[in-house]
Amino acid sequence: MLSSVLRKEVRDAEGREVGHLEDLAFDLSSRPPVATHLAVHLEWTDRIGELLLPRPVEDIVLLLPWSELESMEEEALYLKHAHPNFEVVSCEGKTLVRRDMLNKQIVDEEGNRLHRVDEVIIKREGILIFLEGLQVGMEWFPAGKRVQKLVSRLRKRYRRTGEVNVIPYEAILRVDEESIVIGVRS
Amino acid sequence: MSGRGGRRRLGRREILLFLAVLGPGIIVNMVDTDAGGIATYSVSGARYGYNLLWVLTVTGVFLALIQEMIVRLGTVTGKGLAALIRERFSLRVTALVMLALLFTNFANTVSNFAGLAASLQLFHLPYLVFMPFLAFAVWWLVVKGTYQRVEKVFLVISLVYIAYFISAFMAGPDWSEVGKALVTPKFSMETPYLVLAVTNIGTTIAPWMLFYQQSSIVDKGLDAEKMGYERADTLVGVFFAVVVGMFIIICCAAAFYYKPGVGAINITTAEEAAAGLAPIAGKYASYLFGFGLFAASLFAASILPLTTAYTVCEAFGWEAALDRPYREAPQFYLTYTLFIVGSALLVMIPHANLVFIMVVSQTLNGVLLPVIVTYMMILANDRELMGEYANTRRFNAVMWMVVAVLYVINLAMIISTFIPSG
Repeated sequence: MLSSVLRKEVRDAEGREVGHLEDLAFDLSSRPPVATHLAVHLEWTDRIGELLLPRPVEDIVLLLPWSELESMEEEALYLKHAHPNFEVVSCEGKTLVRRDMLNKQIVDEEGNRLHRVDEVIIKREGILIFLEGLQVGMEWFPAGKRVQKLVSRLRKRYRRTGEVNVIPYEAILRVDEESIVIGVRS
Repeated sequence: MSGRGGRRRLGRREILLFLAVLGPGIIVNMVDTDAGGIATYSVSGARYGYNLLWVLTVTGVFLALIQEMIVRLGTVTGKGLAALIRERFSLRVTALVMLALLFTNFANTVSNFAGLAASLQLFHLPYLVFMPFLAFAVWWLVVKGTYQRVEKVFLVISLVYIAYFISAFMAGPDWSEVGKALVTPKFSMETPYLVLAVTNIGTTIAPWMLFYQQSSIVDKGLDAEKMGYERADTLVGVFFAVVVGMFIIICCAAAFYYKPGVGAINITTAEEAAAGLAPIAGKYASYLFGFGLFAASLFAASILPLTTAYTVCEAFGWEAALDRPYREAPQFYLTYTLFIVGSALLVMIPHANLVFIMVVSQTLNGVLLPVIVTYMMILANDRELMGEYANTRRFNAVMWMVVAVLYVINLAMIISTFIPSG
């Protein structure tokens, strides 16, 4: 689950705590979608890369490429370089799961509202993270019958077993500003 | 000449735009003067004369500030408040807020159906016979009409609040005293006075109205460009809501408080106020007051279930639209229908403890309001969401004071609910 990795401590190459993981960017065109960037929340910094800022800035989120990640441990994520010498990239055109997918409205191709994304399901393989799908409904708050039927149809279509309330990533057509469009037509 | 002509055209265009935008602000503020509100204002006037009028002036300022934020949030984001809370916070927070809102709004709907029953009895009509028809009428009007038609009907219904102006004039108040009371705050450390002052604010600013107004701004497709018109619509609505509240206080003060020999009645409900008006201001004043109560209750009994259904569906991402069939929006229609049927049935049960439901609803309203306004403040300060329309520092300074006052007031109201002052 996405919530199990978010807020994990992020440490630099020297073991110093630099912040926590705020979000993950995924490449939705790859199969399965793979995490390509980490959004790291820094409490404060006085430098970005080699740039020394006129005064320290607080509460800043930097997007780092996945290549900056050295290892993913239980207690923290470790970066390859020491602060502030890691590569920072622009978030333009990136799909961040927490910002752009979690809690977002899911609609079908015709714009009919189905449910909101209750959780984003991810899968870890070594140092890589893949997107499994979008969970609709929780144990304590199940989705309506209509949505449950739809999810089970989609799961059959994409040959999924296990978790019954997860819309497989293959069903995601696009992520718009207002909603996530999924393909329900066969 | 051409310049003048140009200005005139622009003026006409602006007026037309304002008329097109008109609705959310006026309706929400008019519905707010529901059975519970009318009861509070009636008791305020009957027990303390014009002394509590100034409280409504302050309440009007609070309401205008909070609703201005709602206008900005709705027009800039194009999303309802429930959707924004869900997207910014979490499913758990949203579920808790929605649960509290469901209970509060249901209890408020029950109190409005109780208001309907009381007003029917004022006209000597058997409410057990009429209640199912009225409940069906409320359900049918909304379910079978389009939003635009429903909004027009509601705007027309708003006119019935004129009944309170006429009733107040018929009660013969001393207008110079009224004028003085409006601008001269009268403080008293008497607990019942404080409780009533707090209740006046608590009944005038309710959480449901924030969700309703933002949803209907979004439904109308109003964007940042039309923000000015919607602000004006809201200000007109706040002004009328406060003025209607004031006229109810004036009416009851003139009829009961200032005529102790004739109207020495310890008013506790709106229907007692309406019935008590007859010997003092004449039977027509009494009928008008009762008709106002009927219309206000009917109005709120239609809007509250509707806004609850919209809000809950928006929070959880379910389809919610009046122009969709039941199979496409089952949660929306179920919530709406259950609210109306459940409230009407509860009111029809003999000896049902409606007072308990109303007290709990008022308490929950009190708990929920400052929390919702705090969420609104966080959202309205989010530059990523609001851009250039985020709260300014000055606005924040004023608003955090309002929020603090709301917390204190509502805490006081909750304490007074459980520790009666006597």
